[in-house]
Amino acid sequence: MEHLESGAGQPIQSEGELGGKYLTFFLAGEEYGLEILKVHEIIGVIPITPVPRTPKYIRGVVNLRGKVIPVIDLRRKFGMQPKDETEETCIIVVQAQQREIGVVVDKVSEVLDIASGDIDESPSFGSGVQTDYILGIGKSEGKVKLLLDIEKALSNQDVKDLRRVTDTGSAEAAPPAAVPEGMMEAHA
Amino acid sequence: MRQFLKQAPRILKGLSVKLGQLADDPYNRRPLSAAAQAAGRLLEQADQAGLREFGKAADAVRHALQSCREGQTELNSRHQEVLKQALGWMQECLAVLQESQTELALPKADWVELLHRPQALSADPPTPARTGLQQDDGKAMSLDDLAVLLVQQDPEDLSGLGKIQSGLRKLAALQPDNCQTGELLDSAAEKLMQASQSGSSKQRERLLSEAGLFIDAASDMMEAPGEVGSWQLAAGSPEPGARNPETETSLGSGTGIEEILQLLNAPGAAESLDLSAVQKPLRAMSLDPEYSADIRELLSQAAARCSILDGNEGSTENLIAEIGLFLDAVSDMLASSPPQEEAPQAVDSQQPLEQASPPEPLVLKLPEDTDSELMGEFITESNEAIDSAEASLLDLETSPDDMEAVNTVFRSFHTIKGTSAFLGLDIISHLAHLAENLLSRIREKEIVCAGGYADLALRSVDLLKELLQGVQDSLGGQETAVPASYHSLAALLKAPEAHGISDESSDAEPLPARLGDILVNQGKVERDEVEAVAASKGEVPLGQALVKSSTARVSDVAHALRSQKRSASPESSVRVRTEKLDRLIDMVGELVIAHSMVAQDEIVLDRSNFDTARKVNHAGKIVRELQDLCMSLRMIPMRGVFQKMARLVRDLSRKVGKQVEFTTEGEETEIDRNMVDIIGDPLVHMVRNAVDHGVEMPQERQAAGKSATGKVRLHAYHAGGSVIVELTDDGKGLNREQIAAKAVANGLIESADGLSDREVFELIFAPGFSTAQEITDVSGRGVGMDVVRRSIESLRGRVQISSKYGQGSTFTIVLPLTLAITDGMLVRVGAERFIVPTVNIFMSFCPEPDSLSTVTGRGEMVLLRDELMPIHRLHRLFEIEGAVHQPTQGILVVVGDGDRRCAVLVDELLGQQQVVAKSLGGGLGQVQGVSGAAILGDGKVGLILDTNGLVELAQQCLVKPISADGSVKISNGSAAGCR
Repeated sequence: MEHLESGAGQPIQSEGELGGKYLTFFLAGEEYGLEILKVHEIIGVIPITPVPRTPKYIRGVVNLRGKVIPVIDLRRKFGMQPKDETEETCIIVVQAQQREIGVVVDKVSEVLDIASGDIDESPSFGSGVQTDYILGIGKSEGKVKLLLDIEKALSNQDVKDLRRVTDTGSAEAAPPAAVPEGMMEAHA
Repeated sequence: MRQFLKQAPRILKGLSVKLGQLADDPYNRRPLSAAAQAAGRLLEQADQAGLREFGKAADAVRHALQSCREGQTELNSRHQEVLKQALGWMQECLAVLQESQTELALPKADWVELLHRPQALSADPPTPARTGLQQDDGKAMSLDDLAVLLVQQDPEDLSGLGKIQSGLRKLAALQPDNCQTGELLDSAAEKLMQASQSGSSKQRERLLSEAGLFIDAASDMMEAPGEVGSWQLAAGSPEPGARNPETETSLGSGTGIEEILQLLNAPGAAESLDLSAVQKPLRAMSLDPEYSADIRELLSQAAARCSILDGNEGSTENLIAEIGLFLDAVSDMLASSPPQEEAPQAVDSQQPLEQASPPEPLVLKLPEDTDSELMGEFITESNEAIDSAEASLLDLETSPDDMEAVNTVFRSFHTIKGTSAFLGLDIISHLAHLAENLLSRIREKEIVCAGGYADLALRSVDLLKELLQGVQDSLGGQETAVPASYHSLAALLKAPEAHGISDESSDAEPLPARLGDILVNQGKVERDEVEAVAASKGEVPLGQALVKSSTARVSDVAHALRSQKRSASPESSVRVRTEKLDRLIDMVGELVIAHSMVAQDEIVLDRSNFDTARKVNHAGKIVRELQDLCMSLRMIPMRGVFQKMARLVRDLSRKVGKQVEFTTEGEETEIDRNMVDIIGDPLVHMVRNAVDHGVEMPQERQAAGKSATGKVRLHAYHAGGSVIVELTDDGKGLNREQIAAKAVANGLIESADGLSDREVFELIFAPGFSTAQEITDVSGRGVGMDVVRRSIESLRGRVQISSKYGQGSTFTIVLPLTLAITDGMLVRVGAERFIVPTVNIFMSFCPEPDSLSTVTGRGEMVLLRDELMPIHRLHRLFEIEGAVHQPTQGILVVVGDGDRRCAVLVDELLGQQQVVAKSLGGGLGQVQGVSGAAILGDGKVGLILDTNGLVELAQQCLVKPISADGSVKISNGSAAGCR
């Protein structure tokens, strides 16, 4: 609810805390950034076991040294075209909502220190483009990095999708436009 | 050797200082014992360095000094000369050793002979110690003189002190038979010495008056050796004027030793130990006639160490440790001496106080408005509570950490307390309250339910029983007095520690390892010596006898005693968090998998690498053993669950007015700890049903030609990798017609025709099904059996019913051994692999083409042994591409249970495998048809199928007709249809 109260875009007080180290990676030509503290490790692509009757963006589960963790395809999640795996394809293991989740990305780039001053508020593109899981837009060496709020990108929406899947028996991913009401208002 | 060269010079120096002191004051026993001690340490060091010659020499010195100390020989000038010679020799030796590092070059030690023959040293006419006694009168006079001198002594002028001091020493030396007097005089002399060295006049004054007290006590003692009370006070109270009985009790009790130990063990004790605080009580206790002579000897030894400590800056820590050892030995002895003597004493001392407040003997009074019916109920209830408390207390004897048992006892006391307070039986509620407090301390893990505490709890139970009997008698109109032990027990319960109760066991248990054996094993003494001592020791404990005959050193004996105590404790256990244990088991599971990955590697399987294969095999054996061990860590016997049932049957049969004989078998069958918690509820339901519905009323039974008492039997055993729990009753059995009629009425089935008995019986597992004619508060609401089935299935188990109407029924629960590992069948569908739990598989087969049929184009069926069952295609349910479409080309796995059996089409069976079941990982939640995941032999994740979920899923989708291409598209649109 704090998003509503703080008006459009990101909560103001968190803007100052955005600066720091980010792990950047590529997804369909765009460069994204993940807070480094959320990243547990980066592994190469290992065999992923698909889990039936789950949304398409859930690639399945993998064995991370004896732990079974789900893996999410960010391309599919963000509604991008799927791409075949290459040597550069990676799974970034992140900590989101107190559990480990793997995220498949095209290529891992570097760890960047981005100062708060170089981070802009995420612009609003209207209701067609979902930007609620963009923390902000970082600028570094003249390039733009989309800083992801991985908690938001992965958690609530997915859990809701999953619930719906298990409840209705549907295997179809919810369309990305299905943003929670609160968020919609915040961006309007 | 280096250690020896480092230590020995220091010890030697100390020894020479002590010998110097002895030369000045041959009657002072303190430097004597200190010197003997130093020689002992030299011997020890030499032994450790392997220096036989030096060791022998040191032993001789020690022996000589010890015999002097024990009064066997006198330390005369000749003696001292030899000792000095010995000292010189030792110093010489050290110099040689420092250079050559071997013993070969040592000078000859001709003096050793001399020391071993003390008679040879008696160049001076021997003054046998006994002669001193004959001069007692004269000396007593001089003691009085000394006392007078002391009183006249001006604290500022110290010149006279030396005279008094030497007089005291002489006197003390003349008191060999009566060591208490001697000790007192010694102490007085010590005080005087301290006074002469003391800087502040105030302290001097204090020391002088203390010395005076000691002298007074000694002279009292000489005059009336039988009366010991007064000197004991004097010795015990450090301040003059503080001659009150409190001091006596505080010092007289065993807790004094604990206090001193605490002082000694306090951090920084080595630097800032208040010596007098330790020494005084020690000395006082060493004179206490309450203790046996051996304990007193130990105590005075400890006190002697204190005085060594006084003048010795260097080895403070060692000395403190030694004192600690002595005290440990003392407390061991105190503990081993039967505390029955102590407890009654303590009670006696308390009793007058207690009885003073309520002077008249208590009479068990019932309140005027007693409802006898209520009271009767209370007695029954309390007796039951006491029974369970007793049983649990007995369990606790063997496993004092069993918190469940502690809780049971606690609850029992609590129940009795609550009810008795409600009924106005204050006496009972008071006692129950105190007992409850004790138990709550155990529950809080403040104390352990063992030894004295356990006895106390059991005594409380006994007394409560007596009191309850009293209440019953009172109901019958008799006057009953409260048992005399009530107050003493209450006092004990109020403050158990104050009465010397601890978790140390009070019964003299047979010692598993003999003290002598331990000492011999440690190389401290020779076996022959021990046997010789043991043969001659008589009634004295071996440890004491050994010390007395100077066969072994006190500290060795104390050590041995303690290690004996350690080994005597039966099974030690470590508490581990379940979480850690689970993780360990998980990891071992992973290790098993990792190992099988290695074992199945091509390199290993290649026949040319025989050696590698052998090593991998070896590792495999270890891993399997480790796995077995890990599994057993979680296993606990079913006893607890079974006992709960016994109680339930008893209560229930009484409530419904039936006679039931309940027997259990296989209580020791072990089962996964997690399962024990879950299995409890379904078992309760089933046992209730057996008693409430199964067993008939006595009249009915007799009418049916059975004995009036029904039999209910609970039997657990292992079979085929499963745990099987059978509940059998010889009641009326399940009535097929009644169940069928009810099922038809409920719309569960259309007709019972063609259904086997078993299928009909399994209808009772349907939700809301009950055939009980009337709903009792015990059972019959129809929620029981479906809960039973569900919770057992959650454990991946099954329930089976077999019953014969009129003769009884048997419910069989089949459970896997453990939850952590699932026995699974690995199946392949397309490119995917799944694990089907073996418990859920009835069979698998390749269907004949003519056994297949479709039903109205809606579903496929297969006929197997006259049983028609639906076919579910896994590739359709899970949308897997590239799988076998023709049932005849694939394999049908029959899963489910009872009437919900169905065949699942898979491509092929890959083999059986044990897997560690894991959750799908956070974020995915529940996926219908999948119960979890497991890591397969190749490291990939395989999904474990949830067959029931699968059947449900299939049934939802069956509503939708099969499309022309033979596949069911599951989409958002069809989802609504599925519902």
